Amino acid sequence: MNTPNKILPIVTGTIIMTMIATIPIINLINVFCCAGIIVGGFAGVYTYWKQLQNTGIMLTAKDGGMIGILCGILSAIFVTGFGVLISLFSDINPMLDVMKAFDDMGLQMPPEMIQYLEKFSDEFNQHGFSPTITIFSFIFNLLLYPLFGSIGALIGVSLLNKKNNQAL
Amino acid sequence: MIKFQGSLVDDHNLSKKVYFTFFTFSLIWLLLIFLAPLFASLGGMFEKISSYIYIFFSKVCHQNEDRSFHLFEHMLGVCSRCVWIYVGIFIGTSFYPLKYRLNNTNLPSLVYLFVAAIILLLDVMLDAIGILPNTFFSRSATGFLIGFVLPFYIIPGYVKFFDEVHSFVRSKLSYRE
Repeated sequence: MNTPNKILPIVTGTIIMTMIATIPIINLINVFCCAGIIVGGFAGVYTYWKQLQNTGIMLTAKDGGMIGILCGILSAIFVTGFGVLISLFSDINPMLDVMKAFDDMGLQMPPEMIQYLEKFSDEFNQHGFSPTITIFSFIFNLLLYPLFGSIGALIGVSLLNKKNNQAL
Repeated sequence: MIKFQGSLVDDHNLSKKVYFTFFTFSLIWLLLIFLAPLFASLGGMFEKISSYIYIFFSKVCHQNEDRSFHLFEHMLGVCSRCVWIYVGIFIGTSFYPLKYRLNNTNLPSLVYLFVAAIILLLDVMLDAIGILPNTFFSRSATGFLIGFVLPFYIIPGYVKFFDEVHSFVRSKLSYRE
């Protein structure tokens, strides 16, 4: 019997990861050690496991882990892309908010930090987004999303296989 | 019918590599959390490195100053709950070989994972709805608990994953030859 296509599980996982990371308030889930990314990886594997039902094919850690990693890579691209689009269309300069927040709290910022914030602020005024922040954000996302995505997926493989064994 | 395959992988060297990579990674992650305030206090070039460490951890934690431990008058890279989650992961990883062989792929009962997760969620939810405000102690204890149990579920998963990927690549290469 042919192995089911993995596109649907990868798309499902990617959509869940991206939605959790980009929708305001819901994105607070990710401040709990990237729980939203872990959930996305798990959702991808769950979708694949559902497809495998009644096919007689076993859900392997290789397939599950790969689904988690791929969902993570795609989400990292989409989340960074959405971040840029939101900056471009919202006309908000978050650097000014950061400086204002520090002022309100009465905190003295080191000169180097002010210099950096002004540099990023200029980038926002010039392009509508900060290329420097976007590049760093993309690199960090590319590290974190596949890592936590694969953790969620592999926990999913273990849990779902355990469930299958209990059902036997 | 689908059946969960064997509890031990054959390639012991591979499982050792997976375990020590995970161990090293959790140690570096934990060190970075403590290096952020240390570098911030040193100033100059170190302060710049520190700001990048803080930016990196801002992706995984709210970094609320009031809910964080401080070192050298600067907050740690992540909040108190997250610090103890990662301390728990590191200690759990260190204890793992005492309980299981490194090439083990069997998981402990799911009860431990669910109990730790429910206690953590209760601590968060009761505080969020204003019934029972959480404290540094409750955040640290619940964080440590979930962190400690997680490696016992993650390490077997990664060992199985890399073993299967390794076998797959080897079979593809031998097929070409």
